[in-house]
Parts: sequence; structure tokens; C-alpha cells
Amino acid sequence: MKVDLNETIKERRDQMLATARRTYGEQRARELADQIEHLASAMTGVAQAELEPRDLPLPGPIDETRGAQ
Amino acid sequence: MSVHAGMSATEIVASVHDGSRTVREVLDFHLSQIERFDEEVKAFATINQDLARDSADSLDLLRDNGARLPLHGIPVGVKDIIDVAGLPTIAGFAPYRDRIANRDAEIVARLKSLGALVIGKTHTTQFAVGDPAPTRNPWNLEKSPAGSSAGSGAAIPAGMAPVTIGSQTAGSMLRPAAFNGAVGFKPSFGWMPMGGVIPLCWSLDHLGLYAGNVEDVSLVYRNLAGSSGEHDSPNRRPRIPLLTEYLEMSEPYVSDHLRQLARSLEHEGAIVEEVNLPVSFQSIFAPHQVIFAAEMAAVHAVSISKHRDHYSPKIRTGVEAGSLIPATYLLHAQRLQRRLMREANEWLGYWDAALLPTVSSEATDSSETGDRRFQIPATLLGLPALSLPTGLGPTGLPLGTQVIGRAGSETELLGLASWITGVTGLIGRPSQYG
Repeated sequence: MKVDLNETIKERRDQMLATARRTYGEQRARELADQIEHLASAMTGVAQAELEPRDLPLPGPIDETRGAQ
Repeated sequence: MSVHAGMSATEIVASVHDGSRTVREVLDFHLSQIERFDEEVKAFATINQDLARDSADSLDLLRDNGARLPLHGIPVGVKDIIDVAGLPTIAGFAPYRDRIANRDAEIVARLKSLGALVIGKTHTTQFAVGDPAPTRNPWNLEKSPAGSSAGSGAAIPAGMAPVTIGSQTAGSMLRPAAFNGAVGFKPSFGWMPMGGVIPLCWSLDHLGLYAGNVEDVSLVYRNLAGSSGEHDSPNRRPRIPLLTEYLEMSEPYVSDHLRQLARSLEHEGAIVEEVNLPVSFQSIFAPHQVIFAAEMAAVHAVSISKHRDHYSPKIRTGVEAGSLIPATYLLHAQRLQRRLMREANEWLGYWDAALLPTVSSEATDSSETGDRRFQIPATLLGLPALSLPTGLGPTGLPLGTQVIGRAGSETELLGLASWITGVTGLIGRPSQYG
């Protein structure tokens, strides 16, 4: 079945907006709407990518000294 | 022998070694340069002249006693998210105004042990995100110096320091290099321990260097990284892909400049081909956005709950929206990052380095920090990249040429960059800063 990307983005955006309303209130959720839309689009793009078993999340080099004081 | 604005780090070290200049003379000149011009440029957030002069005198004493350190007497400006013992690390965030570091970040400790001298802390956008810093572009004070390493980028053309340190999580090293007309170098991910650096995103944060020419960047990098010898010179015809996708996304004067530069390189023997990266820009941008937003939200989760009103608009929006990303998407983005790294490094194995504009345009208005899209590939993929100030745009502002190499190919990349600037020349500095 072909996935409608625009519909997927909208669905994801609406889920995030609903969480934003519960977390930050209606006014702030409206202010975050553009940023949420961008992120929903990026998340949909990421979720579309085909990955192989060897594509593990990159932990980065071990660095015991990380972080400011 | 007198000290002059724009004097190279390499020249400073040689003159300190042979005794023709003292470290104190070098420092005092750069402090006077800051005193003359920093009221308008605003590159520096904090200067402690007494501390710097004490360090200079200690370095002169060491030299008098026979020591010849590799970076002896180079004044260095340090981005204000990086700890320097005895100075505050403010990060553009008012609640940190009195937070004095009691020890040096790893990169600062290494610089000092090699003979460099910290002249002060340079302005950053708040927590190295997108709200503009107070710094102004030395080429045109009405224009943006970019961000987040705004002060470190601007201090170079203003002749306030021959070397500065910055950081990049999206485009914060390379874009200030392009807008301010400095050479900027972001080595591979993980080249330097991040101890004493306020994080933004753990899996994207890089430290980097600015200077007025490639040789100075190379001198400081090689010593900091502990690599021996000079940077490598290309010993055959360099193979260079010019990335078409990014030329098409640029202003016409930017793509014209890159194509003209490519022709000059071909004339000197390079093999240049217009091609695309094996992965599209959108495939790179999406995982970067997800990782950036989710990690930034995690880094600032506790702090923003305590100091919400002190957060600038862009970072506050980014943190609040980023905290809505489910963990599964972050992990998927990290897996995709890993795959893209592997593909990019395999592809770059055929070439010496890729060429693309650093930014799609000249410096923008000072209300924003500019287009970060073209700097994101090197960040997400953890690849070493330089921005070289190779031309001027239609309003006389610098244009940057970006050169990207395989992970771990720093010495070859610096060699190629040196060869490129030997062919094209550099734009120099604005004349009003001496």
C-alpha cells in the first residue's frame, strides 16, 4: 500500500501538537506550531529511510571528560 | 621588531623563538587592537588583561630559560562556551555571568601547554544556538557575523587575535568563517575531548579553529592533535568533485564564483567534475534536525525548567519542540546518521576532497545568523571541513569555499587547502583594522 507522506506528516504533527497543548498550554502550542511542523516533516523523512542491521545508533567515541564544570 | 595587525601565528612563533619579539609585545599589540575596535565589533565577551599579561610574562621567562614551545606566544581567543580557568563561561546566558571556571577545558589546557596564550573569551550566540550574538561583521557593521561562533570568526579579520577557537553543531564554525572572511577548520568528529565545553548535542558537537591562513590553522591543529610533520602536499593531480546540488541551491554569484575557482584549479592540474553526493541534501538534513532538536532538548531539560525566562526565543522554541520527539525517531535518525557516514566515506575514498560553497550567499542582515544548510553535511557525517575566504560578493562581503574530506584525512585536507589557496589567493582583511 502506498503511504501518503503528507498525511503521515500531518498525523505526526497533530500528535505532537496535542502533546504540546497538554504540556505547555494552548497559547504556547500555537507558538511552537511552525517548529513542530518542521520536525514532523524531518521525522517522517527519517522514518522512510531503509536501514541495515549494521546501522546501529552511533554512540560516539568514549570520552570520560565530556561536559562543562 | 614591531607587531602588526594580521600578523600570522607562524610569524609570531618564529619571532618569539629567535628573540626578535617578546610574548608581552605580541599580547600588548593585540590588546590595543581590541581596545581600539571592539567597542564596534564586539568580538570579545570577557578580557582579563592582568591574567593575560601574567601568562605572557611567564612565557617570556620560559623562552629566556631556553624553552621553545610549538605555539610559543600565539594569542588565542576562546569561544565563551569553553572553560578557561579564572574567567567566566557565560555562553550568552545571564544566569552564568558569575560562573568562573576553576580549570581549563581540555583544548585550552593543551593550547597553554604548547605555549599559546588565552587573550579572552569571544562572544557566542546563547548556548551556541541561533539567536544572534552582539558581535558585528568587521567588513560591514550592519551585516551578520553569523553564529554561533560570532566573536571567534570576527576577531580574525579585525586583527584582534591570530587564532581563535569555536565550535560547530550545525554550521557554527564554517559559516562565521565565510561571513567574516577567515579560514575556518572543523576537524573530524571526536578529534578533541569535549571536557570543559558546554554541550549542545553530544553526537554532533565539534570544536574547531579559525586563523587568517591555512598554514596557521595547520600549525595549531597538528600540535593540538599530536600529528607529526607538515601537512601533506598533493603529490599528483587532485581529484575534486564540485557538488552540483549545492551550486543549484546557491545565489548565482556564489555558484559563479565556485565554478570560476574550479576552472583555476583545473588550469593548475586538478581534475574537477560536477557531481552529486551519493545522498541528497534532504536525506542529510532530516536526521540532523531530529538529532539536533532531541539532544538539545535533553541537554537543556533541567536548566530551562529553572531559568525559562532567561532563554532566548530560538533556543527556547527548539528545546520545547525537541522534547516532543519520541525516542524511536531519535534512534532511527542516529542509525541513519551511521549509514550516511559509511556511504559518504566510501564515496570520498575515490576523491581527494569535495568542493561546495560554505554558505548560499554573502553575509545576511544582522537580525539573523545566516543559512546553515551547507555546513550541515560535514557536521552530521563527522567529516573534516574547511571554509576558505576565496572571493568577494556583489556588495564586497566575503565568500567562502568549503572543502570536505574523508573522516580522519585532516593532514591531506589541509595540504589540499594550502594548495587551493596558493592557486586562488585569499581576500585579506578590511583595511580599517590596520
